[in-house]
Amino acid sequence: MLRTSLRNLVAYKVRLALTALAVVFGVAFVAAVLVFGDTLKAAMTDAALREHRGISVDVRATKHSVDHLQTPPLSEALVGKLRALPGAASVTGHVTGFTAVVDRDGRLVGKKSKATGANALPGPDGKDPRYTLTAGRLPAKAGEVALDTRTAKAAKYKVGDRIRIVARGPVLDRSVVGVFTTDSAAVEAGGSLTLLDTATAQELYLEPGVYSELRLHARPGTSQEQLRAAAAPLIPKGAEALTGDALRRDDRNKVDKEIASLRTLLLVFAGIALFVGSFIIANTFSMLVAQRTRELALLRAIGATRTQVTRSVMCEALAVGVVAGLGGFAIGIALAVGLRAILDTVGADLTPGPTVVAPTTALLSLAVGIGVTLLAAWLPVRRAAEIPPVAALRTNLPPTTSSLRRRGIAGAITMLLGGAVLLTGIKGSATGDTKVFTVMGGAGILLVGVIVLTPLVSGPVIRVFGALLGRVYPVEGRLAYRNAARNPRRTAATAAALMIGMVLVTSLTVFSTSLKHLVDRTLSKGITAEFVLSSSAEGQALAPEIAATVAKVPGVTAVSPVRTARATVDGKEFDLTAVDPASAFSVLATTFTQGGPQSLPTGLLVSKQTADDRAWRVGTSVAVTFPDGQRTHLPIGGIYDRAPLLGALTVSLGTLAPHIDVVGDDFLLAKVAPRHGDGMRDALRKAVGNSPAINVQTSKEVRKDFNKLFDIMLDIVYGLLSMAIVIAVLGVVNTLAMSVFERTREIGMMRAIGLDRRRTRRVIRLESLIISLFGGLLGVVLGLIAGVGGTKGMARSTKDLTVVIPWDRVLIFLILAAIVGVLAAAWPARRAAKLDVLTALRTD
Amino acid sequence: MSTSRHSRGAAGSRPPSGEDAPYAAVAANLMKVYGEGETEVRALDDVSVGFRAGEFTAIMGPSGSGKSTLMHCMAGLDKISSGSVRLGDVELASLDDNGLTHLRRDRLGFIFQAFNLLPTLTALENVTLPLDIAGRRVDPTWLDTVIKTVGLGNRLDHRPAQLSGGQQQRVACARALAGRPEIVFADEPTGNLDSHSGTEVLRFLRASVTEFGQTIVMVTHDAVAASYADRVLFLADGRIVDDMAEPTADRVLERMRRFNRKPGESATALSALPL
Ligand SMILES: Nc1ncnc2c1ncn2[C@@H]1O[C@H](COP(=O)(O)OP(=O)(O)O)[C@@H](O)[C@H]1O
Ligand SMILES: [Mg+2]
Repeated sequence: MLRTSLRNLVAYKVRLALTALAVVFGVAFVAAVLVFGDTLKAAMTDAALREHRGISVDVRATKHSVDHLQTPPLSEALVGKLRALPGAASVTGHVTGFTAVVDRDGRLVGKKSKATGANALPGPDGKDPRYTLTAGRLPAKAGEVALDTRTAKAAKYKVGDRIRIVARGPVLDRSVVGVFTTDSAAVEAGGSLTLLDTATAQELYLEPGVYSELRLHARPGTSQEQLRAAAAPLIPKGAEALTGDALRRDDRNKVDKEIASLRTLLLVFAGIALFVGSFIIANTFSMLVAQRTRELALLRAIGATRTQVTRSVMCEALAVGVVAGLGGFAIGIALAVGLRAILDTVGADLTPGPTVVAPTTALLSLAVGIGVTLLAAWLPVRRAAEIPPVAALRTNLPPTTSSLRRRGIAGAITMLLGGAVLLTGIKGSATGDTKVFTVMGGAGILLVGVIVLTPLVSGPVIRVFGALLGRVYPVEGRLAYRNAARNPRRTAATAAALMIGMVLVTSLTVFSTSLKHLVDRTLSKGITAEFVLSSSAEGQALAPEIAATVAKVPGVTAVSPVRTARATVDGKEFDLTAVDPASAFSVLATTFTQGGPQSLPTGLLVSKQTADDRAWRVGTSVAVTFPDGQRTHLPIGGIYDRAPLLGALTVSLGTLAPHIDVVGDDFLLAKVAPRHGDGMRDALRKAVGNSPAINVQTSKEVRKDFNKLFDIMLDIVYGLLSMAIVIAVLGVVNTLAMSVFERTREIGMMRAIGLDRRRTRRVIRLESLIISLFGGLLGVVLGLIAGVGGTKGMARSTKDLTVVIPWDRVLIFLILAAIVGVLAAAWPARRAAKLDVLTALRTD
Repeated sequence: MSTSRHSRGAAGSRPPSGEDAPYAAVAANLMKVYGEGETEVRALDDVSVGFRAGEFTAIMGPSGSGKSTLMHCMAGLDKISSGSVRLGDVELASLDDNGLTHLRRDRLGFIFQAFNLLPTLTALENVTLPLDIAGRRVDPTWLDTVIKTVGLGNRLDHRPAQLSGGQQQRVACARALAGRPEIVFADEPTGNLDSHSGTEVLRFLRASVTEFGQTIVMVTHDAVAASYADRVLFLADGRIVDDMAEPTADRVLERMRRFNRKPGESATALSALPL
């Protein structure tokens, strides 16, 4: 029996190769994600560990303290006390923060998000062991900096040059006193490192005499743990001491977590690709079994048992699975390397490091390839075993007539089940991940139900397509339509593979477009300010002085900073927004349902939703625990309904100020007098010293930026889903090739009675078009339903969210489905047209 | 087995298949060689023959004698090695694939031994398929006549799978005639049928010649089938070895017997005939 399977593999090699390809792509996706993740993880871990090598004990601010904008309690005095510990060989104080270098054209050098400043720690010999000077010396006083070689080279700066740098505040003039090499992670990842003297760094990032981190090195004979235990009693509240090993473990965990979430996201898309691939496998094996019914029956007739027949076909599936697993693994590695190269050329500047291919990746690829193939082939193979030996003797096999009713019932039940799960998810009490998974699971089950039902829908839908095509091409249209209708299961399974990708693309497009419009509308209605100032480096705050500077610019009528902090209010932690009560309501459009902004200087404003949730009313006094731990009671003075930039709770800058140390503005909103419209941008830019680290944008530009963000996200999703679409196209190719193969004699006959090559091709192409348009239409319709449903579901909790359907895109998707159909038909149609008439007529 | 001739119509009132009728198709010095060197097979060896309009010609001969090849070459389905084939005034060698396809579509009809029909089309759709392909208007009176003659009246909406072999073959005949082609080529049209169904098909072919003046060239290895024709050509080893007018089954059988009695062979050897 094994010999029969092997022989079949050879006989059907092209078809099986095409089939394997459907899984290969899915497996390659998985393998690429794993390799890419492992590679990035290794590089990032390595970089993090390098940064922290040799540290015995590390003293740093707690996460809580950092989150609550408190200055780290790491003073010069603490350094002194730690130095006095008998087990400590050395204690160094470190200060780091955001600093970027401005090049001669006024632009920032390197990746803004990785632009770093730190204090240099010259030893007695004037050298810092972490950096190797290639020219000059380390900075020793204010006004001096040293630059890493990459940055110096990029900006063409050398020792002695006067340069400009930016931190959170205004642009600073400095002179370069040294250039050094470093293996710092930030620089490796495309950022820059600017070294300053300790006092200047402290002044720029924290306050005089304060460090962000202390590093202890143990004397020989003292263990990390012993030193940590000795240091522990000296550590003030808001800081923590951990051993170097714990610190590095922490680094590792942080990287792991970061990579894990990226990997999970990507694996979801790989899973979709595999799911689509499994359809192709199931379909191909169905076709192979149907085509070989007579042969399999003959095997049974001459004495092969049911098990032997099953095993023989299963062996073929296994071989396909092995090929798919190995091929996918190899292509996956190439994909990961290629992706890396592409990302590097577009300037993503990932942390460099060698490609890591873990043995588990190989095993997993193989397991996924074999698993998916065997699973998908299982049903068709079982059908093979059910072929009775007598089928060998029947000459005219009736088409598969096993009723579609059983299928209809199964599909309906699955859909009901999916619908129930979906509703539980949407309406139920579950929250967070559980809710998301329930909703997604429900939608998934619903989709499977729809897929089971596709053959039932296929009839009427493709009849309409057939009729339409028949108008244009009466003969070819009819032949194509009848062929597509001949085997509804096959047509439906092929179309379903395409449908899955289309559903996702369409629903995500509707969802994302609706969100985009919400954000756009909210911003355009909610901001009355003409200008928005923010840091051009993501996540960086603006120094508070900038607000004051901007306020003084002639023509500016109101400026309000927007700050955020965390606080516990009435027992629950909230994000607190702080604004300037004097100007906030001239730059923000806010509607109050109760009370008003007058009480803001001393009170609390809350959003309507929060007020409803917590049963607060104007006049309620609530307990507030500020970031620094101080507690007080604040009265609620107003409840606002539509205030896009204000969160759940709003206080005045003055109320928050005493409780935070690290003061920075997320952004500034500036309203200008109408007649100052045009020259205003230049005036504002000039006021902030033309700093390239500060964006001065009109509110319209800000909206445009947000729109672009949504577009980019959607494009990435399209890219990730394209694999599923490509696999579906392979499925269409496969089905058509099979169909041409099976109908060789019919094609020969049509050619004999006068159908020329061009029109023979057209018959196949139209059949492909019918299948693809069916899949595309079904996908788009279901995608619209899912997208509208999902958006409406979310609109319950997100006010103002309305469904926006981008019809132009929907049309493009359908056109794309048609193009896919035409492309998929290219090879099968050529084969059909090339058939020699007489040979085709003689085929049996 | 019947030895009678099949009503070709009253002698003298026969349609224009007389000596003076024009040729519908002519082959001159036709050679068809398969393979080369050691494996070379001369399927047709210097064949010259003409088929008159309105004449029903049967081609007979032992298996492998070149009957099908001759038919395929005459019908533009196969390329010839040398010589010439003319259909009416068209030299087939001058046509490319598209030209040949359109010629077959517009001027020829085909009946094959089996699998003549598209399973997805109804009987009627199968009949009109060549006309539909050509984009020609169906002449309803003619179609009616053809369908009535083949006797398919109430089966027109059926798919081939719902028809018996004989019925399928009659659909194929109707299709071949629906477009009023210049010549119908039939390759063993009764080869797969029981004798009753075979007779029906042959009667129909005969009738279409007698009543409509159709030209038919039919390959067969059945003497009775051949007796429906006006003329029988005998092929052996790729050459025309005999040409019999007004055949009867007995005469044809007799001729075939002589045929097999080659020097040194047993007189009873009918094995060359796939009976
Ligand atoms: N495609 C082909 N390739 C090689 N030889 C062929 C081919 N077709 C037919 N022949 C040979 O040509 C000869 C005539 O074949 P054919 O016309 O089919 O005979 P008939 O129809 O009289 O049985 C035979 O010897 C056959 O083997
Ligand atoms: Mg033959």
